[in-house]
Amino acid sequence: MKVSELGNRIKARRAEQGMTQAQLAEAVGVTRKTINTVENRIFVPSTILALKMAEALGASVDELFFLEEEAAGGD
Amino acid sequence: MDTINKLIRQRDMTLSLAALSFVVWQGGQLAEDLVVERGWGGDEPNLVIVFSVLIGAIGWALASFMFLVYAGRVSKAKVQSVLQDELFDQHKRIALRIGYMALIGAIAALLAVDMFVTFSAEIAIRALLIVGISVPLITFVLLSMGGDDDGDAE
Repeated sequence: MKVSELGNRIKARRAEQGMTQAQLAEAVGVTRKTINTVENRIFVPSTILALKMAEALGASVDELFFLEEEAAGGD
Repeated sequence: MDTINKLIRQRDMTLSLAALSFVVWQGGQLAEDLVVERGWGGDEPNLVIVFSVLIGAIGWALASFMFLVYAGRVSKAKVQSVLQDELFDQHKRIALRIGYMALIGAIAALLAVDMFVTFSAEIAIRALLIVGISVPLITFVLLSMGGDDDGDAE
């Protein structure tokens, strides 16, 4: 059995755009901590927030987010 | 965004004070109920209990006042939707779920204790009130304060 995790390229994309977490947070209307936890894979954003983040970073959602599959439970 | 961070800190401090003062206040009341019901004390009131009830009640009143100040600042800065974003909702859901589980645990514990010691409904209700209010508040604050690597400059 494989478990999917949501990976992201937000940090790299932010660096390309010269944006801080605070600036991205302001652009999408959330707290900086929300951006931080999404970036660090602690929090999985809703589709709406993912779309807003992609728009703010000038990317598509699938450029920004991707699925990472990991084997679980020794399978 | 500095305003947002300040408001988050203020909210966490207010909720921490509310939770701790509620435990001290109602914990003192619970101890007083136990002393009276069991006849542990003499005629003199227990000063530690009286002091904790007083300090707890003042803390709770102060937390209520701080919450009003916080609500005023949020309203003035027009940042309610930012402060109550998706992460806030998730933390709130987790805090309520843990509070619910703690409440069920407390009920089970009271039922177990009731097999050996009898106590009044007032004591049981007060104990459940302490768990039901303080556990979600403390859980929310811990979630809100943790899990941030402070990588804003990147």
